[in-house]
Amino acid sequence: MEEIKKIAKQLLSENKVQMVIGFEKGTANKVRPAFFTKPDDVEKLIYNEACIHNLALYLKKDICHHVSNVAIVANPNVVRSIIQLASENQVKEEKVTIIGISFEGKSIGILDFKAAEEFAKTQPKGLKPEDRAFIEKVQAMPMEERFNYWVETFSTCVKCYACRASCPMCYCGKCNVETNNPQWIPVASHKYGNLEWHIMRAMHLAGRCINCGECTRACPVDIPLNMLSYMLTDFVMDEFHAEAGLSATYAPALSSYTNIDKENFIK
Amino acid sequence: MEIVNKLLDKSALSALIERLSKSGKEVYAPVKENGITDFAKIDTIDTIDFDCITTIQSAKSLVFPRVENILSYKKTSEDIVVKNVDITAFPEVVALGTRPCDAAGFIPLDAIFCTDNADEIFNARLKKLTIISISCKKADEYCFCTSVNGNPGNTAGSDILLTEISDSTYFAEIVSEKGKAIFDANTDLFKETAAIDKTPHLAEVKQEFTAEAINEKLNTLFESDIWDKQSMRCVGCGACAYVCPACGCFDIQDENKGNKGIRHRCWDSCGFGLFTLHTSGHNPREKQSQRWRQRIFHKFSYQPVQQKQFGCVGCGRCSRACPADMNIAEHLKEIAVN
Repeated sequence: MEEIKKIAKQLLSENKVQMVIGFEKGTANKVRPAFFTKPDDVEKLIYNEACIHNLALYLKKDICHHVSNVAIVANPNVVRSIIQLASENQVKEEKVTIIGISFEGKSIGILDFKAAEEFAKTQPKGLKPEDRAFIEKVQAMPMEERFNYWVETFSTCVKCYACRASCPMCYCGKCNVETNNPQWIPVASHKYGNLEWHIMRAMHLAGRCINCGECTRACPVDIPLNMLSYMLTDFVMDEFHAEAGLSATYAPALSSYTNIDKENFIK
Repeated sequence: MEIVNKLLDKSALSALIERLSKSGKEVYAPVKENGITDFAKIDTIDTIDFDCITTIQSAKSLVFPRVENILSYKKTSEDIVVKNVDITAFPEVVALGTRPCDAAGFIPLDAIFCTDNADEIFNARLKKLTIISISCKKADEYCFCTSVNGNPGNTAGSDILLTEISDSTYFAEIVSEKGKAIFDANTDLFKETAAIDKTPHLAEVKQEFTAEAINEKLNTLFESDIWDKQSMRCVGCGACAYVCPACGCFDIQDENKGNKGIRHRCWDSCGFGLFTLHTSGHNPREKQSQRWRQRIFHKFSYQPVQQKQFGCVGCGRCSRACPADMNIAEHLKEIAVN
């Protein structure tokens, strides 16, 4: 943590960045995202095992619009998100300074995008053994049962869109659910309105999601919706041998074409 | 009416729940499922999670569901037939195990739905709702009811308030006519008692500020940079509004299918950019900080003027649900000392 603070302080005092995005103490044992603009503020910066929020999210929010250079305390999930955002032309290397940190909390120092790609490749992914077991259980269900499982699981969704708002990849200025002429996705959070929203969301993240699990962490009613994205990640890997968040020049599997793409979906 | 004091043993509460369910009333109470506690329909005391400080979502959906049909319509060659929802078909509902803050939340909610004209659908549901609350023995770092005119044993909004005074007994305060109706039909389950001092049986929630002080401060804070500072980490979702017992904003949506359709009322939130987007493309609240300011102003400045009610009951649900740990009590305290 002291190492991160030192780097953050230096970046701010040398005016290499105008803001450092990191964490500070939150309510009780919680931590919260924090934005440091003065070297002295950095005293409040903390890093511990609770710091799991995907801070890359803020690179696309209002607060970064007027900041020319920003540094970000980046665990492997954040690093992968930044690389993915870069591949989608959403962040520029000269504007973002990555302060790398391993899942164990060890500082890696400042990473340029090349080093960030290398670092991301060596880091374990967010999928825990219990997540894998969950996916296998759902995948083993017959199709109808699986469909009903998701309908039921999404039925408690209140459409607060915390999943969308917390996802670094959901940066669209106007989300598809906000398109109302015509209305593609029902606004109402009834059974099928919820299902349509979550399917649409998952499809838009297929081949782009870096599996940080932020959507599920943000969900007030604990819907395991990251599992749907995880399954799609597997699918994209199997079908296209593509994985998000590892290369800043990556062409997202579902919005690019290569001549080795399978055509077995044409029946 | 004047509050009537009684005792209700836990075994008698169990019998009361069974009687209420058998009489055709729908009884809702906090139930823990898949690790989270929310209001769900019950028919026995055994499924109630008495331990939770507050449910994740408030009990407001009993009178203001997250989506409800308002009317259906059908176009024929001659006419358009509109059929309003049958408000007489709404069930009699008992909310049991609501906290005093939940019960208090129905007061500002009612005020919202009765400003200018009384919302028929909301009022029909509210009329059929009886609220049997249980005082708080425990509070957590998010609770701040005492700072917004509430307390862990507050009777406001409840029809009956139960306070656990021993492992086997509740002190029951019959607060309203609806509460009295339940008592009158089940007098054999209640015992006589003199008034009891509830204080030793209640959680301690330290008062940090007053709602009136916030109201006063807001008069000069509209242009303050405090809103930018506080809302920096806000991600712009609607979780706070949707778990709030006093947030009543909604959207009206038609779902059309060929020549017929249904008109829905669905929850909406001032935290969303779309909430205030005009047809012209202009958005009077284009930044998240303006939306955060609106949330606080609506609850602590506009509602007290328009409806003589504060729009916050201090349950702390918004803070617990916030993915970015926006702690409303902390922010209000900051405003109070600003």
